[in-house]
Order: sequence, then structure tokens, then C-alpha cells
Amino acid sequence: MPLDRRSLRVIGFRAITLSITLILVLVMTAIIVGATGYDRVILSAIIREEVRQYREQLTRPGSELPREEVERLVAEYREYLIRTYGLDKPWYQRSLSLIPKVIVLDLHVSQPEVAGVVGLSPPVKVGDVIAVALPRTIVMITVAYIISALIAIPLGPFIAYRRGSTLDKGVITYAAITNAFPTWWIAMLAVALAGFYLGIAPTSYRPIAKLISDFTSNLLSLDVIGLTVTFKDILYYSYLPILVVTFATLGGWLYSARAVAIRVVSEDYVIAARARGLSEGRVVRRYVMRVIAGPILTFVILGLAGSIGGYIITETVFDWPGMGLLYYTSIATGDSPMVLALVYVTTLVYIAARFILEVLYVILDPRVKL
Amino acid sequence: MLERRREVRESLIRYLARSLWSNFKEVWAYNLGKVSVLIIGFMVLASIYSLVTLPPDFPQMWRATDRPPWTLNPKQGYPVWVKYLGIPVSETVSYDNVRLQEARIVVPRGPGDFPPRDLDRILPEYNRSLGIKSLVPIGYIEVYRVSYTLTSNVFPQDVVVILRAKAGEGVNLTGISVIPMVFVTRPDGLVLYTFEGKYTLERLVAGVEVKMRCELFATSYIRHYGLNATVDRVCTLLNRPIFGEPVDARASDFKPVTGEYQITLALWYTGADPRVVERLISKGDISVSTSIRVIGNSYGLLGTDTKGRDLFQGLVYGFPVALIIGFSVAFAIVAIGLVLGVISGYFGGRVDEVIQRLVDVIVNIPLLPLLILVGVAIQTGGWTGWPALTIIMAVLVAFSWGGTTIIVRSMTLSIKAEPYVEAAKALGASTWRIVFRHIIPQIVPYATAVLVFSVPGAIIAEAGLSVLGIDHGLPTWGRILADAQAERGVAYKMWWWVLPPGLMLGLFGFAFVALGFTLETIVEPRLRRR
Repeated sequence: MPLDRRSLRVIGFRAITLSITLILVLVMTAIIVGATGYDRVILSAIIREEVRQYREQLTRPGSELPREEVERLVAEYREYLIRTYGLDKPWYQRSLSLIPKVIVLDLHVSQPEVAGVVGLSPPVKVGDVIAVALPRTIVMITVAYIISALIAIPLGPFIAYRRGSTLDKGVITYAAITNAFPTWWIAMLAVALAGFYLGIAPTSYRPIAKLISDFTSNLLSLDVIGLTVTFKDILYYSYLPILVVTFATLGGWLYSARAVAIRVVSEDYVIAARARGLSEGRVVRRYVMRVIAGPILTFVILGLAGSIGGYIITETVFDWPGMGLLYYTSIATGDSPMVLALVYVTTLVYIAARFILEVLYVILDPRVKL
Repeated sequence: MLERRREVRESLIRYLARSLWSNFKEVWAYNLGKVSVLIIGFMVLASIYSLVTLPPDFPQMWRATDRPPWTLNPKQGYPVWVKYLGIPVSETVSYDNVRLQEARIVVPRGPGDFPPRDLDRILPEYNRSLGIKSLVPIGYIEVYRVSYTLTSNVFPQDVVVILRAKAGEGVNLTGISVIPMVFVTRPDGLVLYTFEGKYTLERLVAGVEVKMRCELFATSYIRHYGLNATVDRVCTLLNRPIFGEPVDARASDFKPVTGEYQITLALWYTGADPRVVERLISKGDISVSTSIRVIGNSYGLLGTDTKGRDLFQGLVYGFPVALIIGFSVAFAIVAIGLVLGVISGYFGGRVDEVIQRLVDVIVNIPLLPLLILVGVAIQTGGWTGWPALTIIMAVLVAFSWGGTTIIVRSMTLSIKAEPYVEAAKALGASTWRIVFRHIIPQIVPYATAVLVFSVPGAIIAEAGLSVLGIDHGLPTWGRILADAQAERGVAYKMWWWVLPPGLMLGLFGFAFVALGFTLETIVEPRLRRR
């Protein structure tokens, strides 16, 4: 579908707003880390890492430098780094030097446990660790969301036709309950019940990391038997998280699908179709579903963008080795460069998703204007 | 004039009270409203209960896990009422300020009277103890006794004696020491003992806890049962040999002995002439209060965590915190949204443009990462308790007012276009008068609904941050769940730890959303009528 000039202008305007947002978040981040003295911790970690690498270089076998000479050079280098990073200057001058490093993710993981979450070991760049963890998070949530959507879209009109019935009330109650309780607490209960009390699900989900890499290698070597086995294992490790996220999101979706469908089923053309003697199933499939699928899908994408941040906590509860566990481990071990990088990447993903959504909006609905 | 002012004030109060009452009646008319009002009322009562019963330094107390009262509670203790569900538990019983049973000076009455017969008269447990070979108590001795009944086949966790001395003004304590001796007489007649050591009275003034020590009686315990096991083996789980008998000769496990246990505490005063001690005590110059506590495996209404903390107290403390945080954050969000929305809608122009662009940016910022960063930063900066929580909440407010502003702005725009506002303007009413007399009163009912809706948000956010490992140090529902998450291997098997705080979070959220819905249905027809 070709975009006219006005649509392009709308998209351009959105892009500018979102870019400003991202810059603002970065500036705020700098202020937060600077004013609280947190950047001192981060920069010290960076300097420690660089000094360690430098010392390794100097003491590599083959170099004949005497011990005192190495110590002198290392001390000099450390002084140099402290000056470069501005640890001897006030925070507002110093924080600025941190921002470019964050934007290009030129930071190193400072704690081995953090790198261990994705099965790597230091020295490793934060970007590489996030690159492994982020897809795991997105895959888990996306699968759950697709399941929710597949249930909610056909069921919405069905409930809408039975407005006020027990089923309808049940759906509303279900939505109210899942809305009130935090998803991560439902996850806690699920792990406690299925994992610890009944023993029908794993209690820790970290092995999924190895399983996924096994799966990929099996896929590459076309090992069908190995593939089936690993797939079954992956299923065993992922069914509970997916079930919980689906359970938690389905309520809200059914509710909105119902709300959208109620409006549609009372439209004249739908009533006319029923009056013509078409069966309910046919009317729903041909006349209702097509209309409600659009708004619900928008809702899905919007929810997806918003929830990547929210499921961080749920993941932590599952010990699922994605972004959530990365957050948790970095906070627990005090890996400050990683915390900063995670905040930046999460914001970036969220804003990027918002932007894609805006573009889709403009493409799908030409009436959207500023 | 004064008279008139008082009249106005009184009628204003009457008006406010009446409108509050009529609002309440309207809310009460809805089922959902009734439920929400009942839950919120319960939460307010629980907050009052918490403020009255818990000490003001409860957060510090909660964090000091190595100190009483937590050390005197069972670890991972069940709630006491689970016994009514058929789950066997042993009770935790505290015998506070145990009454002195006997006291006398024990001395040998001649060369052959050793150990003295008087000792046997007041402390028969001494000679009946398994393998007692230590000092024979001679001097002024006080004896305290309590009995504990073990009804179920579950081991209690420990026996603790808590001693605290009080000395009169100017009494010279130097030299006087106390040796506490604890005897446990079991239903099967076996007597186990502990001689802990010597405490000076100065030390006892600060308070002392004496626990049973297995090594003292283990050797003779092994001989008594003819076991083929080492002392270390028998003593790996201290509570089991005290309250149980070995199931086999290797002491691979123990099974509880049910029935009535008698716990005897003897305080042996040394270091001074017994007659001096007796006189000091009878005059009340020295008094030692004794408490004996049998730590079962159940405690309190909601059990304990792995550190022995009373989860009921923790849960109760969460109520006022949730209400205070929830309301102050919601109030701040709505106040900012209301002011900016009205300004933006009423004045329009460049101010409107600036506010709208700001809103555009604000609503696009993902809140959680930012909150995490702030949380980590203030944690690194050494902030804890209420100041830390206040900062987190301030950040939450700073990025949450966007939605309210948008709605208030559009409402202001539509009210501004009403004929009566135009008329007021034509009559020369000032801007302030129009805003405060005509616009804000119409938005306030709606803003109230928004406020009620936003109350749970803050406490849910706080709970999430806690679970992610940001520790502000206050015992909130989120904090309790975060502790459970940190010890998931053990804690997830303890439903009394994981279930109640989450239920409270959910109930809290549900009550305010329900009240918000009710308010909205009350408010909406009024809005439509306009």
C-alpha cells in the first residue's frame, strides 16, 4: 500500500516524538546515575575491567617486563583512565562521558554470575549477553500471546451473543481476578503448586538455555531423533511459563474481545444477516470475526510492546534465563554496567515497538491523523 | 459578623458530611460498591490494628533476624490453626515469668553427705539425669518447673530459657554469678540436662538465652539406648534426641515420644556467701525473671519464615504502608493531571502545545526500567526505609500523570464550550472564578474515580521492584514475597509464606478497581446529562 505524503508526515512526526523520548530517557538516566553517585560505581567497574585487561597484556608470557615496571605502568594507566572517565570531576561533567558508551553498548559485564545467566563467561560485552537473553523473553511472551489471541478472537463474539449469561459473568469475573493479581504472583503459585507440591513441572527453568542451544545444533545437523527429544524437553520446561502468561493475559483479552464484539453484533448488517436465516457460526465467521480481528490484533501488539518490561518480574520468578533473570542477577550482584545497559535496551525495545505500532496504525487506518 | 461566619462554617461542614454520606449511600447501593467498601473498611481497620500493636521500630526489628523475638520462634513454623485441618504440629509455648517453686541453701550436712541429700529433696532431677558428672551444685539454689505436653508425632524445634536479672539501686553485684541448669524429664522417665556455664549478674541484667546442648548428655544417651553411633551423629539434629528415641541402633533417625515433658530450671548462685545471696534476694535487691520457651514447629496466625519472623506481623504491617503509598501516589498523580489538564484545556495556545508534547513523551516512557534504575541507584547510595520508598514513589508519580492530563484536558475543552460558561464570561466573571466555580467542580467527581483507580498501582509496582531484588528495607507485602523468592527452594513449599501477601495485593487491587467502577457508573450519567 503506497503511503501518501500526509501519512509519511504523521509517521515522521511520531518518529521525532519517540526519538525525543529516547533521548530524554537517556538524559534522565544520566541524571539519576550521576546525582545519586551510582555512575561512580559503574565507572569504577569499567576501569577495573580495563586495568585487568591491560595487566594481562603486560604479563603475557614472552614479555620480559620486571614486576615493579608492570605495577608502575598499571598504576599510570589507572590514573589515566580515572582522568579520562572524569572520576575526578563533578558528576554532571562525568555522566556525559557515560552516555555514548551506553548508546553503542560499549560496556563490559563486571560479574561472572551475570554472564553465566546466558552461559557465557567474562570478559564479555553487555550487548552479547543481552542478544542471547532478549529473544528468549520475546519468544516466551509471543507464544503465550498467540495462544491467548487464538482463544480470545473466536470466543469474543460467542460470549457477546450470550450477554448476561453465566458464561458472560464468569468471563468478567475471570478478567477482574487476573487483573487484580500480579502475573508474577500467579507464577509463584504455579511454580509452588506444579513444581514443588505436585512435582509435575520443573522448579527451576535455567536448563532451558542449554536445551535451546541443543535444539539449534540438532536442527543444523538434521538429527531428527535428537530434535524430537530436545523438543520434548523444551516443552517440559516451557509449558508452565507459557500457561501462566496465557492464563494471566487471557482474561483481559476475552473482556476486550467481548466488548468489541458486543458493538459489532448489534450492528444492522449483522442483525440483518441473522434475520436472513444464516447460522450463528456463519455470521460470526463471516460478518463479526473479520471486523473484530483488526482492533484485537492492534491490542495484541500494543500489549506485547508494553509487556516486555512487565514480564521481567514473572521471568525472575520462573528463573527463566531471559531478560528478567538478567535484571535480577545484575541487581543482586551489583553489576552496574549491565543494569544501565538493560534499562537502555528495554526502553529502546519498547519505543521501537511503539513506533512499529504507530506505522501500522497509519497504514491500516488512513483516518488516523495528528 | 462572627456569628455569621460560624454559621457558614457549620453549614459547610454539614454540607460536606451530607454529601459524603449521600455518596456513600450511592456506592452502597451497588453490590460491587458494597464489596469494595467492606474490603477497604477491613483494610483501614487492619492498618489501625497494625499501628496500635506493632512497635514504631518494627522495620528495624524485622531486619534484625539474628535477634529476639525472631530467634525464639520456630523456623519455617506452620500457622497454629493448621492442627484443625488435621496437619500434626507441635505447639510453641512460652512460659513467661515462671513462678519460683522452691529455693534453699544446699550444703552438705557432714562428711558423708555428698552429694547433699537436700539437693535430692529440691532437685531430684539432678541425680536421675543421664550421665551427669559435672559440678555438684552447692549453695543457694532456686528451682522453677513447667510442663509441656507433646500431643502429636512432630518434634518441637528447641527448648530455650531466657534469663534477665534486675538489681536494686546501689546493690554491689560483683562476685555473684549464676549457673543455670536445665533438665528435661521425658514421659518415658529419661532426664536430659544442660549446664551452660557461668554468668555474672551484670551479664544477666542484659538478658541471656540458654539452649539445650546435646554434647553434654549424648554419650550417656548412646549408652542408655545401646546405640552404635557417634556423638556427632546423634547430635546432628539436636531437637530429635531430646524429644525422641532412636529408631535403630545406628540412630539413623528418631521418632517422637509423646506425652508430658517436665522442664526444670535450677539457678545456682555462686561466688558469694549463700546467706548473703539469700538475703539480697529476699529483700528484693536482686531478682532474676525466668522465661521458658518450648519452640514447636507452629507459631502465630500465619506461621514464620525461615528466619523465624512472624509472618502475621509482617502482613499486618503491610496494610498501612499499602494505604499510605497507594493514596499519596494516586493523589499526587491526579492532582498534577488535574492542574495541567485544566491549564492545557482552558488556556490553550502555546501552554497547551508544551503540555501536550510533554504528555506525548511521558506516556511513551516505559516506567519499570526507570524505576529499577532509580531503585538500584538509591540502594547503592545507601538509602533505606521511608526515604528510599519516597524517592521511588516520586519517580512513579513523575511519569504517571500523562493519562489523567489527556482526559482532564478534553473534559475542560467541552465544558469551556458550554453556553453557561460563555454567559459567565460575558457577565465579566474572572478566569479564576470560571475555573473554580464551573470547571473544576464538574471534573472532581471524575477525578475521584481516577484517583481510586490509581491507588493499587503504586503498591503493585513496589512489590514488583522488591521481587526484582530492590530492597528498601520496609516489611511490605512485596518484600515478604521477595524474601520467599530469594529462598524459593524452601519457601515455595510454605504456602503460608507465599499465599497471604499475594492475596492481600490482589484484594487491595480488586477493592479499589471495584470502587472505581462503582464511582464511574455513578458519575457517568451526570457527565452525560451535561
